Amino acid sequence: MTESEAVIIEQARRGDPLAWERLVVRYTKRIYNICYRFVSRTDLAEDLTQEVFIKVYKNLSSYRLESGSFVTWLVSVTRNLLIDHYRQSKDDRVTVSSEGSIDDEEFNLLDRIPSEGPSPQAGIERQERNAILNRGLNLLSPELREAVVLRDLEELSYQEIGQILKIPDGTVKSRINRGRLELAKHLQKYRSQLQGY
Amino acid sequence: MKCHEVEQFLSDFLEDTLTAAERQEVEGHLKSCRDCQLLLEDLKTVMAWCESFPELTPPSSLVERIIEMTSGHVQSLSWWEYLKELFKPVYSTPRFAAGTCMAVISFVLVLNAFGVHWSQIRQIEWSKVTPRSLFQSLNRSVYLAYDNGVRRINDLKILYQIQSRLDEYRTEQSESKDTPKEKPKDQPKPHETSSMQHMVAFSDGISSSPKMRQDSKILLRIVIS
Repeated sequence: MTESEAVIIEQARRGDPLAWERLVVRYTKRIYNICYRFVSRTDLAEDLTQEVFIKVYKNLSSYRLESGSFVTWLVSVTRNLLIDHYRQSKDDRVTVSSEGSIDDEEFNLLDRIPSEGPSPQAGIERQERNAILNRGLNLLSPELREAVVLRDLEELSYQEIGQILKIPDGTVKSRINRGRLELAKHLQKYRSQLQGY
Repeated sequence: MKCHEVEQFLSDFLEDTLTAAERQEVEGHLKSCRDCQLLLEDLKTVMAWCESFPELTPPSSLVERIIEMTSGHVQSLSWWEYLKELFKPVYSTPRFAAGTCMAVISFVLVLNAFGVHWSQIRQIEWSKVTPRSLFQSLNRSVYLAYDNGVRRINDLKILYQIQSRLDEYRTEQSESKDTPKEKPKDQPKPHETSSMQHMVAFSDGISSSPKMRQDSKILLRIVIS
């Protein structure tokens, strides 16, 4: 953690609204993206991001600088909230069919991704690639999904992931590997489906 | 080593964290197993996709909502501070620095092309420029442009009304005469003329007869009032 960040957190803890606003502006995008990877719905991701920051604001005084980086703590709060949300919505959750095509929400998100690349063809390929990956993530169990998201999308270290998930490093590695393998198998299945048409 | 055992080591194999003996065993299996080779390739693909997976941008209102629901102080950061915080996670990377330099150069060139000079920009009081003030200013400009457009359309409507009244007047005049004169061939039809032609016709009409001139003046007075 940078020194300036430690100062900002300390100021926010003392109730400085400007310092708090800095933290919100700095981390909203990251938290929103983590939430989206889990719920795959932009409206839900917005609500959950809001909930995360409300919870963080209320519990900011319980955060200790010595216990680890602020990001790790923030992601940990996010993860706990996402797991709670998953448990609550487990019964009435619409499970994603493994046979269906890529759904609208997955393509809707592509409108909000800034376009880059040389040609429209490349853009379409990238969109399709992202949609396949997003769909693959949806098919993973929450334990594997959170491990892959934190490692491969949020680029956290094994140690940080271990702290957030409160599991040993060995288990972190194993979950990440299993998650990646399932994603790779999902890709293989998708290819074989395409060849079947 | 069997396939399911090799699978457990594939991430470590790609991240190069295996011991020499483990690596040798995995490599040995991969040489002879086509399925595991394909799985390894797809694992590489998936990891590369994850690496380049783009981030979604949340709606700008989200930050505002969060602050409203927590501290209640909305957008008190200056424009510069807001941007600084927004890009804090990325602006320290060399790729971002190179991109920013290119963007700044392009921006300055575009500004120069539009006749905006550095000295004008320096006169702006940046401390007063916040996302909210910028939004309000843009909002105002849009409304002003919209109002101007509406006013212009209304002016055109009035012009057409005057023209149609004059046409009616002209028709009445020609019908009242015992020997109707033949209309000049090049005179445009009332509903097919352009606004410029209407204006010419309008001025011609005004100067054609003293009575008509008087009527037109009355008509104009009504429109202006």
